[in-house]
Amino acid sequence: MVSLGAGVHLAAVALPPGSGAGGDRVVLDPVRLRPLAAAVRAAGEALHSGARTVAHALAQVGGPAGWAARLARLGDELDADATMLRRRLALAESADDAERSFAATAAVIAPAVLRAPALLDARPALGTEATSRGETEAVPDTVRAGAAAAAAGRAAARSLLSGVGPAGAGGHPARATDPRAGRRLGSPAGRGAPSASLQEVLGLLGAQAGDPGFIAGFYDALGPTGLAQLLTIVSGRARGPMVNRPALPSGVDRRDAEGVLGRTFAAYTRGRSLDDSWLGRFNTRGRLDHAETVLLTPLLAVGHVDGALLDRLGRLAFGPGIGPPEPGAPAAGRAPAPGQVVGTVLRATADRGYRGALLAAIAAEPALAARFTTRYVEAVLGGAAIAELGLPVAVGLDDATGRAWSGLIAAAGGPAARQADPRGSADFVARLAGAVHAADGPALPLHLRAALVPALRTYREEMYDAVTAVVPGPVSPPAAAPAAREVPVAAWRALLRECLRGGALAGLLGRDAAAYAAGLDERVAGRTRGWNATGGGYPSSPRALGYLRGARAQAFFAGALGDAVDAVLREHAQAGSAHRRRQAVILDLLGTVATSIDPTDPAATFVHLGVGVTVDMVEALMRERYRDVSTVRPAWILAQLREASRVGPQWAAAYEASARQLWARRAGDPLRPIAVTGGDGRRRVYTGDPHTDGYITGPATDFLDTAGSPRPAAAMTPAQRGAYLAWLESPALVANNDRLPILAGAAALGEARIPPDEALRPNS
Amino acid sequence: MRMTIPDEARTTAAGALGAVARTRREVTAALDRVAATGAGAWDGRAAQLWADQMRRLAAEATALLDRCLLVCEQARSGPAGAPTAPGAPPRAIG
Repeated sequence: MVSLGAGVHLAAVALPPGSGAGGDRVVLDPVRLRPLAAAVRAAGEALHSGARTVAHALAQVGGPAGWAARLARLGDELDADATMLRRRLALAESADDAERSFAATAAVIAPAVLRAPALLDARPALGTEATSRGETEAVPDTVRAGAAAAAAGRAAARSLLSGVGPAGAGGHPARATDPRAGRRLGSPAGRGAPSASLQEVLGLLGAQAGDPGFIAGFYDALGPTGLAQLLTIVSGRARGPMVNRPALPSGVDRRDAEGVLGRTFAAYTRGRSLDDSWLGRFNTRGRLDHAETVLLTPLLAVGHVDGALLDRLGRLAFGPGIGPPEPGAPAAGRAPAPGQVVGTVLRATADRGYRGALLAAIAAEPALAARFTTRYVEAVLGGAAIAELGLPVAVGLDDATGRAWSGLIAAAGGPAARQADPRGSADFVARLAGAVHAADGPALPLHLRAALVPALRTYREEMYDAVTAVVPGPVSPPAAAPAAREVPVAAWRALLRECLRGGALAGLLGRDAAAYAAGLDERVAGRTRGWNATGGGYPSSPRALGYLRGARAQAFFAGALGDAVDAVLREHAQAGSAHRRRQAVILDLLGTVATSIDPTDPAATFVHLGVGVTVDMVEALMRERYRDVSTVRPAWILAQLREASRVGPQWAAAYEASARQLWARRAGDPLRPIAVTGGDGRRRVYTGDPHTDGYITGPATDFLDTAGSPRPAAAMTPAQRGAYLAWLESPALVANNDRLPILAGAAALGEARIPPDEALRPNS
Repeated sequence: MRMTIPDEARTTAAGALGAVARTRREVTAALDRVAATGAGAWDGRAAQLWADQMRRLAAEATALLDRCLLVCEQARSGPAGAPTAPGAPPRAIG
């Protein structure tokens, strides 16, 4: 313990030279200082509580409102003093315990000394006065600065609410006798005169925008109702029953004010949980159950508002959607039907600007974008499809809102969302693929088709893994993004087709297919290095299955391209001339991509494919075409492609059947062991026996029946299926498969209906 | 049947007076505790300045609350409802 007799000489060591501090000694007794700090804190609370009571009481009897605000400011001073005392106590105790030097502490906390006057100038307290003399700040600290900043923030807000002006440049608060005293929030001092008070407070808020304590104090004291009033004034909206009357000028530059409020409010939302109760009071009508969310429009575009609040605002604007209930919310009973959700989204008739700003803000929040969008996927696709019908009445999503939703869908499917929220992102892409598949070729606007592309690109590995899997179905151990792994191939195909129908980015998607094939080739080669180092004469290369899977990935893309062309041609035949021009442009683009595909040579495909065309470019091309573009040529190319790319999944089934036969005939035709060097550089011998090779490690992974034959894949558990799949792709089983060369040869000859090169390159 | 509500404003003022009186007691007691525990807890010029400031703060708070009490007292004993609800006659229900 630090006794009075052995006092800690804090001031002498805590202040750097030249800080203006005197050499005054402070001697303290921690045993007595602790209850003092507690008493000061209790007194501060009593004053805050008393200020609220007095405000209420004086309002009832018509007394001056400024008295309560003054009491609250006295409470703020006591809060800051209590913090200062606790800090002194902590420093003294740590010095006593560890006998450590205060030099380092002083270096850290010295900036707070310099900062303190600026933060404290809103109150005429001893703190300000003494700081200039460098005495009570002999032990400066960030805690005290934080409390003082919060108090200054509260004072600034209260000056708006009560009409008492904020601190002037000289550090003296306006008094209750100030001509501005008693004004309501934002009422200009004179008729039509600029409001100096509002300007001053916004200036102060802008200057303290980097100080969380000040911001928290300001918005805490302002409250939701005060904020709503403030935003109403700044935006120049008329209030009250005579809404058609022009609003009084706020006296501040609207853009500047919204910038300051946007930045600081965003910081505030990240530090505070603004719940439904807060939102319910966010209105200028004094109600507890109304949120005038439209007032937030300018703020959403400026700052990075907290995701939880954005989620709440989204639910308020667009309804709950279809998905898990809001955390903590009571069970809402039965989930709404998709039709109901479409209706809710379409009926979201709140201000269009607000909806767009809100959706853009959600899109900028990767941790929220996917989870939020998942709930509305079906509704947005439905709403956009209705709008695309071009009905004479506006029943679909309007263009601006539709584009905002497109931006959100693109963000939700992007890599940032996957990184920030892997599970939400996987759920989103699974739901999106399912919804597109279920919609069965909806007419969607170009921007929405382009917005589907990021999801496909982010999950291209999962998609092509599913497409090229020898055996369909979930496997265990579950890979990352399990929801995305369970998307059926048909749903992936539908999603890819709808993306391609937009024309934009078709080349980029084609590159993904080629890149997947090339990557697979690399991986298989890496796993089976040196397989032919010893003589042996295997019927097949252990890499042959990898080649086939790569070709399958490219053929899948070509097939989807053919489907897209079919759909576009069908639309072309049905549509009017303006529409035909558009379809012809898209066909032209798709034909260009198609001529670049060479399923037998992913690397060449990669080189030939363009990087992609954006929606803007497609729309520009359409605007430039004055007459109908001939579709004969691209249609012919694409028809050839479609015919040639009818590669069914039969090759996978054929391979599986041949592997099973190989295993069944192992008694008469023994499998020849193969030695390969794996990716880890270790030489390993594969025998083809799933037990010996380590694929079956116990009952959980045993995919063989009692007779020793593999069970039907569909009847296996995910763990068994995983082991089975790995065994089917193992070097021994692939290299011993004497049917693989036939399958590969047939593919090369076009008999497996893999697109022949000449069909794709008629000019070459 | 008619039932007349007696002087509503006077009742409100009485409630306000009670609330402010209670607040004054609580605040005064809290500041007294500060004064009591502060003695000997720390020493030096900064401590003296702080103690002076605390005394000024306590005096200001007490004076403010006294003025609040006075306003409430006047509202309670003054003309019926005049300060709070001008032109608000007793409401008749039923």
